[in-house]
Amino acid sequence: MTDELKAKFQALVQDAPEPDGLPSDAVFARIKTVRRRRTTGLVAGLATTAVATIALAAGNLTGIDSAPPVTHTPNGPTPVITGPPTATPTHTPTKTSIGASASTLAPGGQESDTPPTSTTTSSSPPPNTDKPTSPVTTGIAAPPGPYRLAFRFETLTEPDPDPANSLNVSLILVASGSVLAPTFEEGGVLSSSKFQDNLLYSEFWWGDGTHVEDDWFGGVFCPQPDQPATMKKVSGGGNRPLGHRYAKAGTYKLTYSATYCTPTGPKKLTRSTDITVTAPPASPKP
Amino acid sequence: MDPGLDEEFAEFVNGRFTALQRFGYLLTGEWHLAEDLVQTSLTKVWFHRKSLRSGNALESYTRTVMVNTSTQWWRRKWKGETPTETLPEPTAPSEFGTIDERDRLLRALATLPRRTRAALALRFFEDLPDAEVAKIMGCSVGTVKSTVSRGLAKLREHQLLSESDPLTPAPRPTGGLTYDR
Repeated sequence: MTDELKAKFQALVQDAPEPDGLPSDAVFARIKTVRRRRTTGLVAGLATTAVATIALAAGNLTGIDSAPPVTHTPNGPTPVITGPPTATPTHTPTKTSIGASASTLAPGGQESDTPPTSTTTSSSPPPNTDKPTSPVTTGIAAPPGPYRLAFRFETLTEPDPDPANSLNVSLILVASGSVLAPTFEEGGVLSSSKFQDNLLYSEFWWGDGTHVEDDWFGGVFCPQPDQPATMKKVSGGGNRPLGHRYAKAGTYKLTYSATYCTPTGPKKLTRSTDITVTAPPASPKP
Repeated sequence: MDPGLDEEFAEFVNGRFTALQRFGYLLTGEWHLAEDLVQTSLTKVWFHRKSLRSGNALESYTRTVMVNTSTQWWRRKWKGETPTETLPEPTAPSEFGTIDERDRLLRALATLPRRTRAALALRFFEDLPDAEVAKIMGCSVGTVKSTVSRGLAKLREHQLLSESDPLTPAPRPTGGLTYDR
């Protein structure tokens, strides 16, 4: 029966169409598109964050006696001045912001190893979701924040007892937080519920020139900021084992970088740790 | 981009594209979707090309990506309508027995779950052992065996196979046509 089914399968696919040109040309064209989209997505995310930061700053500059910020929005509501301002405002001026989590992230969309040294907007608690900070225009809002990613390196508790493996390094990357599930090029979201599968992109450098790109699902990118309906929040954590063998003893800097999605676009988080490996003991001469 | 790596990758793509497209056809049932699936999967594989230098690893991983991608696409995209510039020709029962049989097999495959179809294609079209199929599909050998067995039983229900599966003997169809080679 195996042969029978094989023959049927072969008959089924015998009329495979000839490719129009070199198949590799079409594949490389797609690769180029995916890489360009990633770059564009990152730039768009940074730009959106910058706009949100400026908008927040402008909102904070509004004094209790001043008029609300003029946005010059076409077809927007015209402010109506009903009388002289009173000394005690009767309502809190509305801040203009984009996205619920813009104020929770470091400016520039990059988080680094350096922890915040003082109480700044990046370490302040997320805004109260009972009071929406952005004007609702579509009736659908992005899932409320905060969106944060954290990870750390853990060494295995029991090192390899074999001295011959002293140049081998085994670590566990522990990641946790809340991110937006990336979307596919064709639409939809990832079906995996594993937290680590919902990171957009990650890569690491072992410090000896080895660079590993860890892109599980090429062709995915962050949901567009103006399409909150496509946004799905994923919270949780996951472990990922990392292993490497160094060529010689020494201290190396392992750097891991992960890009994840937020309502305002992709964010990148980078962490480093030093790894020291010792040379295996020299074998006794006979 | 690394020119040397890209050259190797292009060589692999041009050399194996048609074979992968045939495998993709068994997964999707349509040639243009098969081509789309192969191109999308190879795009994903390209990002891993550094760690997949040997030809076997590259092809095996490409099949893995194809199986996973076809499953994900089915959940998201392929249940919807696909716009087309030209109307498809109306389908009618073929007067040629061979084509009719191929059509019946294609329709029977379409009734199977995606992963069952993939397991059958890997096992019987690609001639891979159960262990290799399990590796590609990311499951145990036992799961592969049971999946294949269920798939064969389903094909037998459609009277497309003439003999019973030695792993799970099933009653031979009592009526209808059987297709012996």
